[in-house]
Amino acid sequence: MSADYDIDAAEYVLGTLSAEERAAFAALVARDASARQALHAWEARLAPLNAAVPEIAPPPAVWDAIEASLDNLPRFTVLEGGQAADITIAKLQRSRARWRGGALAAGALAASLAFLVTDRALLHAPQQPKSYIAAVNRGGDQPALIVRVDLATGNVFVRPVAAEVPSGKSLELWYIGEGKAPKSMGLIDKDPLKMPVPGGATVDKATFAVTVEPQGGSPTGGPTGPIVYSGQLIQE
Amino acid sequence: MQKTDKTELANLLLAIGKGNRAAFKDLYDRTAPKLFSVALRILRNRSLAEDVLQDVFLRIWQNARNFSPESGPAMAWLNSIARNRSIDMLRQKGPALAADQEDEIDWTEKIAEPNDREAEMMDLSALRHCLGEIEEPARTCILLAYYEGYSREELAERYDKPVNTIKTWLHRSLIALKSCLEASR
Repeated sequence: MSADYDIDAAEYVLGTLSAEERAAFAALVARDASARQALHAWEARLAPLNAAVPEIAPPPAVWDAIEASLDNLPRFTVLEGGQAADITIAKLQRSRARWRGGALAAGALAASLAFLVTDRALLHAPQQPKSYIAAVNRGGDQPALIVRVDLATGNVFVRPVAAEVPSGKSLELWYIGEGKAPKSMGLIDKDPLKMPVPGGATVDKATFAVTVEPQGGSPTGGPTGPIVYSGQLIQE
Repeated sequence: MQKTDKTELANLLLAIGKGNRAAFKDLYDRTAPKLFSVALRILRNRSLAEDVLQDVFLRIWQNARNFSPESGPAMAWLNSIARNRSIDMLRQKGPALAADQEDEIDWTEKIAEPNDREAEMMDLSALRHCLGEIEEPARTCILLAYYEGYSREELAERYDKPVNTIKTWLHRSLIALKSCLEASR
């Protein structure tokens, strides 16, 4: 276990990381099982401290508001602090067609996101024709969206497949370079999007994540809501 | 909390994972006062704490099916969600929130008090012992960060030390805490 992220996990639980460090660690947890383990171990170590917090009854209006929201709420699978532990990364060769078929069962929204990277030369990959797709997915259903990074043209293509936007909220896409703070790639809508590759972006160990944000996008410039989908770039 | 058994909370979460609203209301009644208090301590603002509590329970509703009793106590899982949302909110709002400190609690004293069932359940005694091994003021830094959401910068200001010194204190204390807890198992 890396001592580095163990101490990040400890400070994440303690609460002393900055907003950027928190977001970067949360993104790591969403894709790295051992970071997730380190986080859970620290949560368990410090949890007994909560016994010393005296109870304070919240006003009844809070429950009323919660109850009123339940009907409109999509049953997202939110990767909360990595609690969705069974994320598997499947490398599927030439299998884009698989994602087209199959209706998404109601209520069984798959928290999955697929990425494709093209242009082998820029990736310093071997010359033989290769095509890989990475799907981060929980249920084996369709991915929520497909992100293709074309380094030859410097474009990122985002194609929503089954991303579901909660009412009154927006979904925002983030690019997270290895060890970097998340960079907004804009809001996800029903329509496919084309945007430039973020400046200084590398594809090595880069992650894309989608968070639920207030309507119109994050007010802070960094992710504020839960990560609902995330996935790592893998060469096509 | 006193009357709530470990497995009862876990069972409620499993039922909520299947969409059981009565179980959700039951869980709310049992745990909201604790989670509200956790949020209120960190945010030091009632209306923000109410917003966070609402958000926390909507997340619980959405995520209950990801809870697995094998990976830890239900209350620890719930506390983590409440703490994470509160700290996220606090860090986004910045130091603007860090205002009133008039009702300061001595947390070292607080965790030394004989405790309720929850403490027994969550094994506070080992942690209490290991915290006791950490020297002051590093121990108070840990407690203020955990309970009241102090950032490294706020701790630096409070103790009139560079932020890097605080970071070193925190890292050393956390590493010592971990090895002490592992040794006392």
